[in-house]
Amino acid sequence: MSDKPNILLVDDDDFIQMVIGESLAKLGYTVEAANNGLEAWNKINLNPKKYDMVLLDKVMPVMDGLTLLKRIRVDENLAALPVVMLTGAGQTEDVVEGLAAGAYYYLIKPATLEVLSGVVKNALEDSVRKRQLLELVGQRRKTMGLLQQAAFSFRTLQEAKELALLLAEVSQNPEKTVSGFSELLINAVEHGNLGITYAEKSQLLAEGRWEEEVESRLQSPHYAENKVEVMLVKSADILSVKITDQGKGFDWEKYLQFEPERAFDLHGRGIAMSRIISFDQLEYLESGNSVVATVQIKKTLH
Amino acid sequence: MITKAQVADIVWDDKALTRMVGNNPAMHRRLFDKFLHGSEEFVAIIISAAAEKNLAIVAEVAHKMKSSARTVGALQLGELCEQLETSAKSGDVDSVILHAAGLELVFAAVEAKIRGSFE
Repeated sequence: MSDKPNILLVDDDDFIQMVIGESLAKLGYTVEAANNGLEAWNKINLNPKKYDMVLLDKVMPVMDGLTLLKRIRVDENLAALPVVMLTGAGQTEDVVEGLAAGAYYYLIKPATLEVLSGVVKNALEDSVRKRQLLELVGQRRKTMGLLQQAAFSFRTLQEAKELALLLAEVSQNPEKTVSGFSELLINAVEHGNLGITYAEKSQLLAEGRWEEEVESRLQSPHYAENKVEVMLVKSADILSVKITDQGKGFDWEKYLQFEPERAFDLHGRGIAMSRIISFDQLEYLESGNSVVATVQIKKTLH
Repeated sequence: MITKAQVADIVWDDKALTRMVGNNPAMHRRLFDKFLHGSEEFVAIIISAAAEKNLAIVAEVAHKMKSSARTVGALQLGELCEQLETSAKSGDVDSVILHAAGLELVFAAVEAKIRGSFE
């Protein structure tokens, strides 16, 4: 990412383009505008690495926002490009539809500078993490394809990131699975082993202190013995990864879907997103401190 | 149908634009000018489309104007646009014609409010 993150603003209303453009410029971002989904798609295709984020209206002529979002989400080269919907369509079903299609966040117009700033900042940070992961995957894919069984034990975010890369490479489809494995492993550390609650994470993200708090708890003797255990079993066509933390579990069922009441939180959609985008099956066991992610292995031609 | 008395009590959020772009009077003026210029055209299109019972155009333009109006703080105009959009999408021609009839009046009040803030 350059010094000034580059945001593609897609909206057919030039007044809204002007207001949001001024707001984002005030926040230190570079903004380029497109008047509809097709114009935006052509701009993105011309240079897929040019934009750090897309801010997208839903209702537009020529190509609407959801069509563009779906195009972006099925393109493996754009896996790390965050899309934030910014739209006047604010019914619950619109919000859930946008999130289910892979939007990072759903903002209703008019969004204040404060809200816009928080969401854009979080989306960009998330994107940087994903891009870093994607840059590292694929280097050992062939060798990792030979792995059939393994067990791992870890406790830090850095270890979670490295293990997510390894699991993604074993899956033979790292671009699709890496963010899902990363999500589950980080969840196991932060929520499971370190006991950071949903409400605490919301607060920490709003204050920009999430990583600091995770590191602080990792240093605390109270959590020193907590480890995440990972078991990997691979057959010719299926990879199964079981992740178990030492937390007391959580009410996991509501996180498998996009729940309207969490639609405007800064987090809480990673599990549902992983289930749809990264895995063929995602199953939580019992109290929820253990989860099994299953991936169908892609057949490769030799 | 919106009456002149109701318009006199126009619902206006004078901090809306500040929350969007910060407290910058010069920028506010540019944005208000842009809003008035675009909305004048939107109002004409909606009134004409409503008269022709072209509900698709009413819904599309009212949707767009709704966001712009709320962005500058013209809450009543935004609400009226939402009613127009909803009525048009549900095919309620009578309701569209009723709401469109009040649009010019509400927009005129918003315009007066904005022009007054420049003085």
